[in-house]
Amino acid sequence: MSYFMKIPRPVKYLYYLWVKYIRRDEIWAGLLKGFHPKSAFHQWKFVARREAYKARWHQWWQEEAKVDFILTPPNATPALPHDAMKDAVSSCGYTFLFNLVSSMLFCLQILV
Amino acid sequence: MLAIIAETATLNQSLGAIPYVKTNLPITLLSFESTNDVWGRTTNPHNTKYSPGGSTGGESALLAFGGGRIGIGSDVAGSVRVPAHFSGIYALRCSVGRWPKMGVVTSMAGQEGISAVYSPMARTLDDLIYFSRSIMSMKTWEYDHTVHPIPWRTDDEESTQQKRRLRFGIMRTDGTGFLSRLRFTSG
Repeated sequence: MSYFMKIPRPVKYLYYLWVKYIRRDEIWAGLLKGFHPKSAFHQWKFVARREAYKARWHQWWQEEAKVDFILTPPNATPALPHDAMKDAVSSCGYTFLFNLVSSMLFCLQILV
Repeated sequence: MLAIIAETATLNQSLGAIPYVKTNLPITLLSFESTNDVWGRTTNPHNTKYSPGGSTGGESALLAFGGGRIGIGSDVAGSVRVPAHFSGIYALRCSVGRWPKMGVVTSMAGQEGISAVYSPMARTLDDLIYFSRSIMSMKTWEYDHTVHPIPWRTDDEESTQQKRRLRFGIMRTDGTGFLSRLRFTSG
């Protein structure tokens, strides 16, 4: 992550174009596009997008899904071996969704 | 969770809890492991070659190991859920405004893009319910401006328990990872 943060922005932009249109990896391209320090003004824009996303999530839950609960794994991976975060950091996005929409979640143990 | 948990500690003490330990966490709090150069590495009590999770990994390891019954963690990107998952305990990730926040020192003061929440963790389900219900019944909004004036909702709890059928959705994928198949064989 720190490597990609340090790449000069024009170079990073070219790499982003290659990832998006040649490798066709929309998710990685989307992350790359934002991998640089931002101003407070840009942060406000992200907050506005966050609120719009929360509204969509809420609307979907109320009007389409109409579920009482959603079942989901708590994380993309089970317990990691030591120092694995160096590589596993790319799996972090799994938990972020529910921080973004600020849901109440419950982790429970199922004994099989 | 490293921090001066002024209000929460005082509140817990007034309810009869005895704070006896602060538990380990990673540098910056931004990791699913709990290791730092001051207190070293926390290992998973089920298998010491693995991480107990992070950033509230010290707490989840202690609870799973039997060294405590209840704890509080912080979650901004999975830091209560991931330790609960890796260590095998119960936890809530409260939505914003449910759990007291006042007086807590963080590594990213002023960061509001994704709000941090503080949440209960416990060794058993009964302990989690007891702890959560106790704190939420304490009207913490009377002195903590970050808490919404919503008490423990007994009516919601009872009406959900009385529902004959609950509707569950299953999130099979987030677009990058997929649920592995869990096969049940009978007989």
